This record gives sequence, structure tokens and C-alpha cells, in this order.
Amino acid sequence: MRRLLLATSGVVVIISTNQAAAQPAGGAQPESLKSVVVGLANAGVPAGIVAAEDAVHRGDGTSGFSSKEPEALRPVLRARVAALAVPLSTELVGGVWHLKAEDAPAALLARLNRSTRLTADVDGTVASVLYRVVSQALLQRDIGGVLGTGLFSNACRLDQPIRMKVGEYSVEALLDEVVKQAPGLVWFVSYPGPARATEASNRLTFGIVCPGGENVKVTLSDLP
Amino acid sequence: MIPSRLAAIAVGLAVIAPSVVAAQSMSFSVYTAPSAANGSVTVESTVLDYSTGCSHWNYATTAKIYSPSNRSATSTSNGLSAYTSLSFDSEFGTYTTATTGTYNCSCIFGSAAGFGGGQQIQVPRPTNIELTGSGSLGGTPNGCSGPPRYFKYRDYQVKDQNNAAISRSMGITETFSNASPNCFGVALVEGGGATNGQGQFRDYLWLCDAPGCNGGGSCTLTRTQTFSADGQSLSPSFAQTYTCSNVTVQE
Repeated sequence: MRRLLLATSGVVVIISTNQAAAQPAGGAQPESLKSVVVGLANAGVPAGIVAAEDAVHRGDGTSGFSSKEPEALRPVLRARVAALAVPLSTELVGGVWHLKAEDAPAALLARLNRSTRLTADVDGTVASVLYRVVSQALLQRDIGGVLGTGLFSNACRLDQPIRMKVGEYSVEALLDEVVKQAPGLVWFVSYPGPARATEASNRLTFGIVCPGGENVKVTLSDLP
Repeated sequence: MIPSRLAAIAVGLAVIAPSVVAAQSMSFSVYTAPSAANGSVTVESTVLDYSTGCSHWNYATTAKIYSPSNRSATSTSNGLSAYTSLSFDSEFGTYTTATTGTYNCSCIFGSAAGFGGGQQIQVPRPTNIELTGSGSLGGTPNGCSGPPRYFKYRDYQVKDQNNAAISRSMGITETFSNASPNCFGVALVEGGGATNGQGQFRDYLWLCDAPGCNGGGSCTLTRTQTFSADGQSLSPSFAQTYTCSNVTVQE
């Protein structure tokens, strides 16, 4: 215990504390993109992110948003995004917020707009839609099952049921549908980074960020 | 409610203001409760005003955190509590946290007075990893349409450079290098998450619905797996070998 002696206007006050005193000084720390992304997941805001791997996954993830109503969220989200070190565009598309790095490779963005057709309704889970339907749309060929590794906790609700109705979808639209039907998830597509974007242009990683910052990612190479 | 480990510490002092005849007791307890988890140091500052004989108003409380290199986070709230956090940003060692505040007091004719206190917290750098258990699991892993070819787990403890277990929640990621081609014809899926509060986590490994293994097919995928905790690469790395019937992991 330490007692602090303060003298103010001739009155002496003793304060008891449970700790030793400290009196350093300094400035504030900027927010990370991950903090914004996890904040969207924590608040149950449907959203998708396209950015470099380091930007998506580095930093802490304890923040939130006080509202998920688009008009209330718009100025708050834009202000937080504008304060990030990574320049991002912000757009609300069909009820899903899209945050995209302004230096995202054009080839990657083109892949996300590539069209795929579901010839029958797909009744699955978050996991099966991500691992198979989205992967097939990106690879433009059938993909089998899963080789999985890593940490998978109950915080990431990969077993939530998803129904994808028959129709034409872009890859982005498929991902949007997942986060619209499974609140609390944010989709992401990441690339190794501007310096390596060209050499690794046939590889990308996509997945979801869950409340609390847990994530599941699928890495695809040999993309057409 | 104040946690038991922060049991109230009240100290009273008779204070005589120049124009006040009766004695007043001015007593504050200042609690600065830092913690380190999920990539950040956080501090919860709580102040209890046990003073008697004077009116106090217009409280403002500030919580502060300083990293070893003096990066900082500060947050001020009206009232007698405050909260702030500062991400590690790959900086480990001794963090300093502090609580300061001001209020106005009737016994000094409404002038401002203050209180303060602080505490340090150690944030060890994650350096090593130790296998503490392993085995096979039943059930169907996520994304599989039926029983897997195998479904295994490995339990780990994260340690510091002195090989002491780190007891805090840490973000865990894994990276792979030297990977051979994916002949299974499956999606490669990774889960990233966090350790529990004791610095322990479970790594799952499974394979299901692999076209490359159907009809008597065979496939072997090898790669080097390296874990990171709070952004720090952990030693050792592991050599993974996946086949159609088993997965082995070696240092």
C-alpha cells in the first residue's frame, strides 16, 4: 500500500491505494483494422473485409459498435476507418458493409466479382458453404472435403445452418449471404501484401472472423 | 463490487479547513487493476470515496497504461471509475498502469483536489511451446459430410524464454512452410483463436471427403507448422505428414 500526500489550498488529504504510484506521460495509440473488424463481429454487423493479411489479423480485438443500424453506424464506422493506418473504402452493399483496401490487387477484386451459378438450393452450414461452395466458386472446379488444422472453439459458430438458394452469385455475394444468415460473423479475403501481391496472384486466403477475434481461414492456390 | 483481491483499504485523516470548525475525514481508496490478455494490457481504475464531513462533486477519473518504451493509452471518465487498454504491439516486459483523478470539495471552498495511484504488471514474451497431450477424437469435424478419415488433437502449453508457463490468454496463429502439393483435392482450412487463461490450447487435425484417397488412391502432404502466440514465433516448429489414413507430427 502507498499513501499519497496531496496539498491543495491548504487542505491536506491522504489517499490510500493498493499500488505504488506512477507518473509517466505519453500519447494515444492508433486503432488496428483487426480491432474494427472484431468490433463489427462483436456487434453482429454483417460485413466483409478485403485487405492484406497483416492488416486483417494483427492487433487486438476487444472493441464493439454501439449500434448496427446502418444510418447510426455509418458515421461511426467511417470515422474509425478513416483513422486507420490502412486506407480503406467503405460501402454498404445489400445490407453488408464492405471495407476494402484501396491498394487491393485488381486481379483479386476481379476474382471476387466472378460469377458462379448454383443449380440447386444448398442446405449446409457456415463451414460447408465456406469450404466447398465458396472454394468451388473461386477455383471454378469441384472441391472435395477438408484438411483441417488449428484452433476451433465454440465461439466460432461454424455449425449455423445456411441455405443458399438457386441462382447466380458472385464470390462476394456468396460471402455476403453467409454473414447475413449467420449474425456475428464477418467475412474476409486477404492477400500476402502489396509487395508480394503480384508474385502470389494465384493464391488467396478467405474466411470468417468471429466474435472475440477467432477466425477460420481457407487458403487456395493454383487459382485460375 | 470490488474483487476480493482488491479488498478495501480505507485510511481516514482528520482535515481541518481554515473556515470549518468541525473535523472532516477525507479518505479515498484508489484501486488500479491491470491485466494482460488477448494481446493487450487493460486497466480498470476504481476509486472509493469514504470521506465524511465534506461534499465532493465533479469527480473525473483517468486510467493510464505505459509500455516499456513509453507508448501509452489514457482514458478519462466522469465519476469514480475508468478503463483503458493498450495493445502489446510486440512489446513485452514491464507495463506501468496508473489511476489519477480530480474532484471539487466543499471544505476547500469548492476548489479542486486530486487522488492517484498505480501498479506494474509483467507481460512475458511467448517463446517456446510444449506438447502436453495428444489423442484421437470421435464425431464429425466441421465441414465434413460424414465420419472423417481421422480426427486428432494435440494439446500445448505456451512458455516464456525461461521455459516457464505463461498464464494469460494469447492469440494463436499458425503458419506453414515447405508444403508439398495438395494431392488430396480438399480445402486447406485453419482455425485461429486464443489460449485459455493458463496459456494452453488444443490443435485439431483432420481429413475428410478426400477425392485423392478414393478408389485406393494415395496421397502424402508434408509441411512445416510453426505456431505464434501474441505475434511471437514459438519454438520448436513441427513437421506434419498427412496421408489418407493418418497424420503424424514431429519436432
